[in-house]
Amino acid sequence: MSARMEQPDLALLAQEAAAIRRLVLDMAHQPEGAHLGGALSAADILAVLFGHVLRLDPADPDWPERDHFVLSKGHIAAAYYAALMRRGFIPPSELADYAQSGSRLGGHPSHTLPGVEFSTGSLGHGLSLGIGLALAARHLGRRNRTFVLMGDGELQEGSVWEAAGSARRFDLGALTAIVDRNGLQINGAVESWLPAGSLAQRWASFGWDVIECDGHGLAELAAVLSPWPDPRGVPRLVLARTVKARGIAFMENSKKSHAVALSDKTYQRALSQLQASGTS
Amino acid sequence: MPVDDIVCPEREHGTLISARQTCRTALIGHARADRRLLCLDTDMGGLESDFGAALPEQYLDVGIAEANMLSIAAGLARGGCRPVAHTMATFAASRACEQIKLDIAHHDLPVTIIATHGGFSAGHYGPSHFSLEDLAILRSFPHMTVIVPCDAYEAELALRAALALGHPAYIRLGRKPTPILHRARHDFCIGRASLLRPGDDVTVIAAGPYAVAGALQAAHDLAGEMALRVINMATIKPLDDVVVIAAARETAGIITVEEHMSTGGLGGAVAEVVTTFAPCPVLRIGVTGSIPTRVGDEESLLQACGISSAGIAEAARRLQAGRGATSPSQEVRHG
Repeated sequence: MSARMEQPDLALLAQEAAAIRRLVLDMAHQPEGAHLGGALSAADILAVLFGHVLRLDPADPDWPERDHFVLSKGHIAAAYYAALMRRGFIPPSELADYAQSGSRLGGHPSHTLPGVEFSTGSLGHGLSLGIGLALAARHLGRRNRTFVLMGDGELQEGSVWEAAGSARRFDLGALTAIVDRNGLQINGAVESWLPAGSLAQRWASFGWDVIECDGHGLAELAAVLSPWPDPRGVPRLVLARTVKARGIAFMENSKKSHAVALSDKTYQRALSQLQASGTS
Repeated sequence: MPVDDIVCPEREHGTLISARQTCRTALIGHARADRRLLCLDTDMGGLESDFGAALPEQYLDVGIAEANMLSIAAGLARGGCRPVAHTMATFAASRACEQIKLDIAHHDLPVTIIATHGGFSAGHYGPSHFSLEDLAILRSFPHMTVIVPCDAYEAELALRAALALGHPAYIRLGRKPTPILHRARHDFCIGRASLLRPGDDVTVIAAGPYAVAGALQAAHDLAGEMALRVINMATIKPLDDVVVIAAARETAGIITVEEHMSTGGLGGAVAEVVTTFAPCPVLRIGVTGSIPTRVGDEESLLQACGISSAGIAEAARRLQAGRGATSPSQEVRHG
């Protein structure tokens, strides 16, 4: 169901990441727009997860042995849909439906979509949901792994820390949480809530195995996201350093990229930037 | 392993039995019969020494973290387990409201929530532990079944029904032992009310131990004046519309009684049915206005709020005299 045990095909993953970014731009190119900045910062993480790591079967989305993925930062649904389209869960023909009236592809994902475990969008729920999925797999003797993708701004939600405190208690070695550390939220820098350097210590103090990595380094991501469950039962926290709106230079590291409706002109400019940056 | 039959309460009528403890004991039997059943605890005290000791692999104490527990319950259910989540009613419905709404109800997942300390049953703990809004909140969620058993016998039946449901369910219990109100075997069915006493003058629809006991007492006290029809509406959602409509058409009016705010709960649910299908006077007995600021035992707090047999009798006389619908708010005010 995946090439997980094989060496990652980095050229293929680069192609997947580029395709996800391109699809995200297409989805943001309508009046309702999309959460572009976070979708592009997480594009490489999603490319590695859906292109290399996750054991999934698009023909049987509820396959009991599947790996679980929970998009806790549900507002980057556009990137999620793009990854699900690339993996064969959603027909690419639905691309133009994104955020349109009557569409099943809303601004936040719905569990009624194939391949989506949970409807998300209210921040701070995903890690607890992932803990539940991981506990169920273990209790029922299955070998599913569980991955939860959160934003760094999301870590201000108190419920994240309720969850963080319980994962180690339950020895969930099959659980990997990923933080898309792009450093920006709607009002500006995340830093004032999460001072530099404190984040890794904070997760480590909750009993997590903290791994910091380049969130745009495909080989590095493939290496840190692929291992089997930790035999000691230690959950993994991958702090992925990313750049908001990665791939579109005129939007990178700008809080204005958080939610954007691309005009024809900006869309064309963004597309050419993607190509120029080598991310498309 | 089959689950033991629930004992018929014939010989227990009037005996004080804890619904909370009864469900705890029953849950162990259900969990032995179904390994997918998991008991989730939020440091409630007692679960660890009974369920946790009996079935440690099926017991998960998430600590004092209700929101976390209810999202974990959703994840467990999505993953094929049958979680039974324990917390106090106010912490489930208020503190972890969004987790129940989004993660459990919207996904229609088979999570059973056992919410203890409902209403004023933790009266000595004070207002932080009163739960007077939970029924209004929970019954507004899609797919959610809401049950308020009137005694330990019915609670055990409700638990069994909820576990077999395959959908979310909220069972609201009290804290301390209350009398067994049933006199005979009860064919409990989710969504079906039970007629406790026939009568054609005025109908009392009640839910919960003290409300139902108060309704029965009022019917007894008024026996020389009128025949009260007493209905135990243990399922708040789905509501037994048929019984409500019949009461609206066959009696002078309906009194609802609940250990809850007078808005949005049982009274609200009954009023919705009546206004749609069979308009009639409805007097809603519940907590109105301010929340009591002084602590007290459950019964005295209820009395102070007019949730009593005397309050029910007064409302019944008003309806019998045709005065029920004259008050604009259609609710009985006290204090």
